Amino acid sequence: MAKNLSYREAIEELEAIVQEIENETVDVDALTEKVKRATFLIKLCKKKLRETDNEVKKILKEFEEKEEVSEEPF
Amino acid sequence: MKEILSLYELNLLIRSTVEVAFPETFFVTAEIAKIDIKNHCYIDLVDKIEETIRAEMKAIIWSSRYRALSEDFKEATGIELTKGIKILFEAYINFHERYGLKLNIINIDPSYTIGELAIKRREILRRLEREGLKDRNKSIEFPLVPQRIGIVSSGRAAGYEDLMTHLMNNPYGYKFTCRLYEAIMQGDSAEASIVEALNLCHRDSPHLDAIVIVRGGGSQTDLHCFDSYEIARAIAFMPIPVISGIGHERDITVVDEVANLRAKTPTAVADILITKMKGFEDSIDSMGNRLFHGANKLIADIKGEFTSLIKNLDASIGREIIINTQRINAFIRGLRYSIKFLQARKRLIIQEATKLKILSFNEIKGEERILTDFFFGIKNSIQRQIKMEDKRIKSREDNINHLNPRNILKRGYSITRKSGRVVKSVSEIHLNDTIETTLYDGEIISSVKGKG
Repeated sequence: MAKNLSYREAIEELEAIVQEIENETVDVDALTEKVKRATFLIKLCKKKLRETDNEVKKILKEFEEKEEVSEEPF
Repeated sequence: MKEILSLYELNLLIRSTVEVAFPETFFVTAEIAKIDIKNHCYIDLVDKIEETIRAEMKAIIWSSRYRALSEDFKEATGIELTKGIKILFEAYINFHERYGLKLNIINIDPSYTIGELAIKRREILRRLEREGLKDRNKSIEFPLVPQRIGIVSSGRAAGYEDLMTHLMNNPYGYKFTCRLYEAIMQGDSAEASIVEALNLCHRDSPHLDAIVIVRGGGSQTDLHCFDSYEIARAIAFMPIPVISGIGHERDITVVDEVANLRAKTPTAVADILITKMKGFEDSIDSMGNRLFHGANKLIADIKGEFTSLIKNLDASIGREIIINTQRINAFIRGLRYSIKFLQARKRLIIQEATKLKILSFNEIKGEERILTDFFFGIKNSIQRQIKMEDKRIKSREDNINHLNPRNILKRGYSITRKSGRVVKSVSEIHLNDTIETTLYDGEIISSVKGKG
């Protein structure tokens, strides 16, 4: 779940949690879990910002290889 | 018979004729079909209606003039003297015996070209607008985090280097995943090459966040090819935002017009991307802060509640303690007084008791003595009384002895009883009754024979 979470999904979930806490609609018992989750999301985003997406690199590389093949003369 | 001339002689004749016929300069408009700079600048000029060429001539700008002319032109129009543009120039008609007829350009009016370019650009933009393509790419929402970038440029171009250096060395340590879509960025084949690169970008767009078009940079400031309908169309149909980094200080190309964002330099493009990333990070940081403060506030509120509860509790407990302490202290004080009082009393009592002891001892002794005396007195008086009584009893005995029936019986009297009862009258006695007569020394039982 964490790996496929998009930035948008992350920030929307984060916003929802922050709003809940700011509006004090969070149950005190749930507070720890919420804060934990929000912290996790922030950390995840920050990590992703500084991480090279090797998956994308690989995909783009594959396209390149296909191109080369198709360019070969019959 | 006509004179026979050598070619050289003929050309000299033409040359002098031309010089005589056209001594003044002409102002001419034409399109540049070809331009070569080999020390001097050699231009092929054409005059077209639609796509049909109706006139052609070669022209030359001497190197001595070319530098100034081309720089002024570039300065004014933002583009190089290049194939495809229309120019208005001042030239002599010049015939050289060896090189033939040429226009010797001595001045170029850039304002004409500017107008021509503007007209061409306006036409393209009008067409794009008509087809609903002009704002198509602009309407795409820019991604929250533009991290995967497709770059249309030339790998050898200084602009591409600038872009990559800036992206890779950004101060925040953001990582971009970039792929270069190689294209020729200037000259005749630029348009087709850029369109092809953009088509590849389109194909890969599901894995990309944004496309960047950056120009070679450096001194090659040929913007001409970016006023292209075909490139603009390819950008318009791109499903992800396109950023143009081909901008020029003064002019806005068609590509700039249709792109989602435009920047003046490749470095500025990098800054846009980095700023977007930073913006995203800032927004999550600010959410982090809000989270922190919100959570803290929540906890503080709860703490506050507890604290005030505890305070109240403290206060009430404190009051209780104070009251109880006071009570206890008062009690202890009271107790202490009581003890003191009791001790005093005890001392007093002991004193009293001691006194009493001494006193009562003396008293008892005295009493004893009195009692002893008293008893002696009583004893004596009793003994006296007894003696007196003895005497009285003696005299009474004497009297009683006188009255005793035995003493009377002794003197001859007797007592007659009938059935145990003393008989005092003869009438109580009947003939034949049994009577008992008591005498001094015994009894006589007799029967009555007669009465007197």
